[in-house]
Amino acid sequence: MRQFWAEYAENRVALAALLVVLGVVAAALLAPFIAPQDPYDLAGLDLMDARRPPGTVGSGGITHWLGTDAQGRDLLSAILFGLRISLEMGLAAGVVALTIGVSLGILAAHAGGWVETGVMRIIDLQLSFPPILLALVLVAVLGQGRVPLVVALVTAQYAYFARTAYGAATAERQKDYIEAARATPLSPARVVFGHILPNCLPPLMVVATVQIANAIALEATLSFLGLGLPPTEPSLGMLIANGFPYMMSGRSWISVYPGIALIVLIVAINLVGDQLRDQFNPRLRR
Amino acid sequence: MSLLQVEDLRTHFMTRAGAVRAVDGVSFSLERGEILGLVGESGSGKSVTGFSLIGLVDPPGRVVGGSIRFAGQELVGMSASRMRALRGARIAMVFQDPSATLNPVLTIGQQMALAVHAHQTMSQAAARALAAARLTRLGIPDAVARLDAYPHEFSGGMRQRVAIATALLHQPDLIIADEPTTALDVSIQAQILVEMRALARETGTALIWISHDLAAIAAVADRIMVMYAGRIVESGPVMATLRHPLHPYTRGLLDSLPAMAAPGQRLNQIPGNTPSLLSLPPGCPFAPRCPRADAVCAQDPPVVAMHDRMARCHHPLAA
Amino acid sequence: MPGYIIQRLLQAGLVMMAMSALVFVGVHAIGNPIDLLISPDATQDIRAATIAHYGLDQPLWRQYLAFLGRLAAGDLGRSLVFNIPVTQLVFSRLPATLELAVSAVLVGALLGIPLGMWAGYRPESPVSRAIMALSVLGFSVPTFWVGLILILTFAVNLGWLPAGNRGPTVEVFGIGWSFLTLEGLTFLILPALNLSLFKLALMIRLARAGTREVMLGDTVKFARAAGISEFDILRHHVLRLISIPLVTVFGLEFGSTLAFAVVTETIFSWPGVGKLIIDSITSLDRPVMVGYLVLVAFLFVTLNLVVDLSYALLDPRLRRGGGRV
Repeated sequence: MRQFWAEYAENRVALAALLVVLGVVAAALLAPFIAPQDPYDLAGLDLMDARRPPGTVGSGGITHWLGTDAQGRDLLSAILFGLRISLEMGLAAGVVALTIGVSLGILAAHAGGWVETGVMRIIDLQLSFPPILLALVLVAVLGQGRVPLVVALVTAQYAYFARTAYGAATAERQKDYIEAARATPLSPARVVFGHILPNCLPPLMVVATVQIANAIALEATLSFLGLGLPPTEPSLGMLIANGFPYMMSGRSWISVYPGIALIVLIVAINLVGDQLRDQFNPRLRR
Repeated sequence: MSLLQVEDLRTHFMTRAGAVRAVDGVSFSLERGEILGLVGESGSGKSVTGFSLIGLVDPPGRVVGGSIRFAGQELVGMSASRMRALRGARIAMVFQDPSATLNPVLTIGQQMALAVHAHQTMSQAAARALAAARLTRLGIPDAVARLDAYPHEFSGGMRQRVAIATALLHQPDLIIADEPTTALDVSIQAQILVEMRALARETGTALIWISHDLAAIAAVADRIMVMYAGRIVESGPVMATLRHPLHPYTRGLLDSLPAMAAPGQRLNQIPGNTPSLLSLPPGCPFAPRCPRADAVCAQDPPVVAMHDRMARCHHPLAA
Repeated sequence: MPGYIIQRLLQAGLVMMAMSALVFVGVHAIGNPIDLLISPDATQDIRAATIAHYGLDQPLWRQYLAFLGRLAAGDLGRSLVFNIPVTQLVFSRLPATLELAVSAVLVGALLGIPLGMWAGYRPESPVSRAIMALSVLGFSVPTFWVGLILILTFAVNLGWLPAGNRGPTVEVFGIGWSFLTLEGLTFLILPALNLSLFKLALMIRLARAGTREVMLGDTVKFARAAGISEFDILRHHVLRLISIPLVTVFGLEFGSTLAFAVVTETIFSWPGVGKLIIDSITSLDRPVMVGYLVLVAFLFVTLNLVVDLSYALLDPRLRRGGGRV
């Protein structure tokens, strides 16, 4: 373990990325306490404050460090809460997709026969379908809101987990020590949880990191297109969308700052995932 | 003047854990047309020696010292472009697994043509004719038609012949063969051994045959060099050395051949394991496993030379 | 090889059937299919007539067969918003999207492959590290954000390029193409660039990974031992070896390019199929949604088929049905 972290820390960029991710998570968790204003409190919003540039002092006496948006919301607060939503959605979708996907993948690898072929064919088919289309259609059909959004995200992503788990489980299954374990009176469940699952973890961790970033990006895209959460709980995507019409008239901060926050989060997670992938890949290690 | 004169060659790998001294002071010479067998276990440094000669040591490895004089030219420190002019033209190499060395998505003809054009400008037709001639010489029937075939359409032995034919394209002075028959069926092994030996004699090409297989070396080589932990521990004419080895390690290798054990008898083994090149003991690297070792072996063993034989040992066996 | 083709064609056919069944079931399971065909505030008479016409009171399997029949005839219903057949609507918008998608894929490939190969060839060099860092950005930054930045920089701040819409078109084979005029090109540049970035990043990473792996292999070693120049090795050996996985991704990615066009078209107000689907979702124009889904499914199956077939072209081991020993 220590060697793992020592090696990880060698890549300065990945280390910085990890710190950024931790920082963002902390900020999101603490948002209700550190945000200058509660962006969901519609009563606290004053339209007179709308579209103010960064640095203005608003009518509530708060300094709007990043300006305000079209509804008069303090952008910094909105961003903090938006990050919260992004992380929430990303993690929820990621965790559910992981559970479903990994179970399916390991099941397929273990069951063999037509179950294996059938399940993997469906997975492959789904993998070739772009996640954004899938999500679009599901949201269109299921409507807006948290649950449909998570359902859409999960449906778009579980296939990656399934494929990875299947691949890893199959490779492990063929290894000699599994043959040996099967020869003992250990129940199949023990074999799976005790042996196969731990060895699937490294590639799964990599996929999970990347997929969480993807889920966040996908949610932002959907929100941007107006298909995400309702406008009273603006996620970063919606904030960006709201600011889009004002870009031409020079009030670009309304879109740009939420955008930067989003990008920083996604890129940081991806960099961490990249480093994990490089470290877990035995063929590239010299 | 010898074709190849190697003096104190040292090739080290700079790993995170330290410098691995894969080749640690190797010296030998090779005459034109001579066949030299380089034998040792995995990790002895024999393959790295081969790569060092042709300048293909992969990072983090590097030739860190010594000299390699080939036909009067110093190879250590030679510029990359001059080295490339030599490779394939004057010094060629054949590797172990022909299914890995031949590109599966190109035809034999395309790959050989690339090797031809690397050193000579000629028309496509002339290049093909040259390739076909070499293939025929290596015993591949219907060579001209086979040029348009893909590697997977050949058997393992055939593929290795294609690789050897490629090595012979420009009639090099020296061919380094790194375990060329190890990946092949036993029957094919024998064939290729015999053919390569005859070919080398006929064309006057010097051959360095790297292998862990003593029997193969005995069949093909004139002289033998035994390597252990990056150093040459014994060298000499192949028959004399194998009949009456000087170094205890050579003796151990010979004794551990299954053929040397009587039926029903337990197979002999050299006790211990090959040493980690990161933590070699001072003095003779073989000492921990040697039945003849004593206190004096903690110092670097001297080179004991007799006529055309040599051993690096404090307590060589009687000749 | 013929066996391989037939096998793939059969598979494609099966998948198409499965997808059409899925769409059909999905449509029936989610809502009242009548809403797919007529506007919710149509009169009772029209409702009754539509039900009779489409046989919506028939058993499910009969309806499915009728659905398939209509599909085969190319009848996907009429758009509720535009009141023209869906097929006509979609096909009128398709050229714009194709133009965009093809440009994006071309940029992605022509730039991405060489950049990626270089990054794989010299992985430690600062140029390679920079390329990889940029590729992470291209990969992770959502397309709509890049589009925004592009508009902000080039259209608003610098004023070099237009911020949206498609340029004037030139008729070729009865279809209008905008890349054939210079002005049309200026409108195409930003959206194509936007759409291509994800692809570019993907290509770079794939080419790099493939190149790195090949460079460490024996084929390259043997080629070097033969004295072949590094450039020739890259051009003849490496490129051919990495082209198989690259083409796969290429083909599959074309499909996802079409998907991402949805976002790009929305931002740049590019009148393509992508914008159509977004508009139809927001305006609840269900026939268009169904039509789009079926079309996309068909496109995917075809794409997969083409990719599978080109596998055979690129990998000679598949061509003659395996090797002989």
